[in-house]
Amino acid sequence: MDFIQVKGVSKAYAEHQALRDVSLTVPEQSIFGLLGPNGAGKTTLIRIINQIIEKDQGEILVKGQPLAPEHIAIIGYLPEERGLYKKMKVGDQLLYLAQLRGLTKKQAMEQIRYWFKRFEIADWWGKKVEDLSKGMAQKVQFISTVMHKPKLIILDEPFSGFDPVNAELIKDEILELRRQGATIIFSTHRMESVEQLCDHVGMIHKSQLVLNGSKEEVKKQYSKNVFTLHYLGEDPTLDGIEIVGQDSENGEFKQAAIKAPAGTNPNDLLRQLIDKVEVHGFREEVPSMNDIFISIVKEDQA
Amino acid sequence: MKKVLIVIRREYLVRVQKKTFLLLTFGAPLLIVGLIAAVVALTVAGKEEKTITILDETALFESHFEDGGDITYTFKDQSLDDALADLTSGKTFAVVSIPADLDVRDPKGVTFHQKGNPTSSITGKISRQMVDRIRQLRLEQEGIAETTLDSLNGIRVNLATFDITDMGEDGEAQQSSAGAAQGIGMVFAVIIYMFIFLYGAMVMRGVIEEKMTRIVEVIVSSIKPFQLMMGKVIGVALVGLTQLTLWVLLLGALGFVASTFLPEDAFDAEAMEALANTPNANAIQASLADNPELAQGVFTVLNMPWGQILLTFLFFFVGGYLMYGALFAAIGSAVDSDADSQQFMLPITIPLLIAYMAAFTVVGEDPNGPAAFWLSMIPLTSPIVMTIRVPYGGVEMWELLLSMVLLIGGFIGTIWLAGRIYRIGILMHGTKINYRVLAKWVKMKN
Repeated sequence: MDFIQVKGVSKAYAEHQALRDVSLTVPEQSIFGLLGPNGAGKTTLIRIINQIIEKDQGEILVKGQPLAPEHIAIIGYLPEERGLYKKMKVGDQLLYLAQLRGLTKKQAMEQIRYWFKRFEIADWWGKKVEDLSKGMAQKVQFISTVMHKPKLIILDEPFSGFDPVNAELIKDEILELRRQGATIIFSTHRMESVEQLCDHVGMIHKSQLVLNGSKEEVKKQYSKNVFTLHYLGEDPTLDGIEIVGQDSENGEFKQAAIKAPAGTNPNDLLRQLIDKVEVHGFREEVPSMNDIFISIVKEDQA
Repeated sequence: MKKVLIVIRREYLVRVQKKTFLLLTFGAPLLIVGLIAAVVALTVAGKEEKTITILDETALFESHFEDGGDITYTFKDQSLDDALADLTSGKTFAVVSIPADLDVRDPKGVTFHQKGNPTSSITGKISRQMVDRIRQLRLEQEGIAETTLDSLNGIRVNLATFDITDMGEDGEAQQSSAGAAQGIGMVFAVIIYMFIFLYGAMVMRGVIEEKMTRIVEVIVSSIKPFQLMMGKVIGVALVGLTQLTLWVLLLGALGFVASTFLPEDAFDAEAMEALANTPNANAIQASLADNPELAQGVFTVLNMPWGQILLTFLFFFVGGYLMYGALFAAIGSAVDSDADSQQFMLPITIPLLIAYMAAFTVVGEDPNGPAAFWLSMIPLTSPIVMTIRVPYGGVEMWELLLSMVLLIGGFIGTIWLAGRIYRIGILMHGTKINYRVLAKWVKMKN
């Protein structure tokens, strides 16, 4: 089941079109990476899902229901530009934000205690935010995002500005929250975290959707059908197959990169190769998200 | 709606718990009362007993000088030189010498000696007592009975002024007093003016803080920007009302405490002095019944339509603040820092200043003239101007109601406008803002 369906959403600001007819789906309990270069329109889409701004056209469905104010209670949002009231105490601040999300004071207290214990920061309640280090404040911001047990957690560039220790902590928490049933959308232009965490991706480039699907599908779609072969014997020659790179003096085996026609089944290819050479290694070259990202952006510039 | 209450609560508590709020709320009345107490204490302390030696060669004045307050008069039969020696050695405070050849028809040649410059209050007392005695002597010489003169002095035509706009239930017009009305109107107008600026600026700083710390995006994902803005404006208003109430209560309590603890004659001495220094001392010393003017002033203050005045004040106070508070919030949302806000303050400052200046000029001179009328209709100036007009009386009920309706319309309009700017402004960073950009925001879809 899709948790979020975005259908034909457009949004224009005074001078520029921020989103043009964007449609994408976020499956339930997935970790969805919303990709795109800076200024592509990711934050606009995120703000629309958070009902901070309104779309001009299109439709957004949450589990099949049109997005409505009630959904605020099931969404947790960590914006890219994030902050806290400097003069307020950590505990009061979390209590306030939780109540705004619809929690009663009692529920909020329970949750805050749970997270304080989990992050081992029980003595922070009375601390003022201005006395916290940046890393400490980030933990508080993360708690404020998830303390009302949202079904959908939206993190805008969550790892920018987080120190490595916190980034790791947040990664673990994201995985744990997903295990508990939450759907997570996070926007980023850092591909290594996409490789690590996401199972679904969508990419917006110049206000338009250019990519949407599971990570495997996308990688298949962008596969160049290149296989790396380690072998002994004559160089393989097959109909329709092209050797795009060769390194014959690499240790004991020869190595070749061979490009097969689109849609080639690796088993068929391997069967044919076995007849020709002594196969010691055979591996499909799957494109990294980074390659895909760059190829899309470059393709457009070309 | 529940969420607005949560915002109001936070905005209120955060400010009320601040040290500066506590300091200002409790410190200011203490400071005021302390200053008054210090002045009184100094005056009282300065009042040591003074003996004034009178060398009366005419023997006409002895027993006609009354010791009063801190002054004792001693009549001595010694030479001026001896008396001056006493003065130099500090045995006496001052010396008055009345020459033997004093002519009651043309009293000249009386001398006063003191170390340093004499105060007019002392010389005044002496000369007044001498004048009284000389007048008595002259009346005897001319054969006029003192009572005759008193009755002649007592003739006075007093114009009792009546305000016929608000006939009492018994059909009698209320007595009015322009001075009292003016004073009350001014106090209320100044309170509104200060409140709008102080607390409006507080709203603006709050908005800028939320924008600068970037917490605002988290909050507006939970609550509509308009709700957040109104929550802030109302929360700050409650802070102001709390402060105002506490000030009134504290000043009252402190005034009461002060009046119990200070020596009774501290006030009496002052009052006596004030009375003694007025030219028409007799008349004022007379009871209120003998003095219709003063009686009328007191009577008017007591008989003013207080219910109406206070209700109007509260309405225009709240209405005016809401309107300007929203505008302050809009400015705060548009700029990136306190310093940038200056350029947009003009549209707020100008109408307030016009109303304030008008209050002390055209409105005060002619509270029901055309200028006063129109300024009390325009929502941007009406909170101050109407508050001044009402105590004077003469404001027709339809005028008051129309002005209130216009103010409600005005603040709904400005709050709407401010809300339009606010919702865009809080999420904008690093854009160069001018009035054209603001106008664009107002028109922009959300």
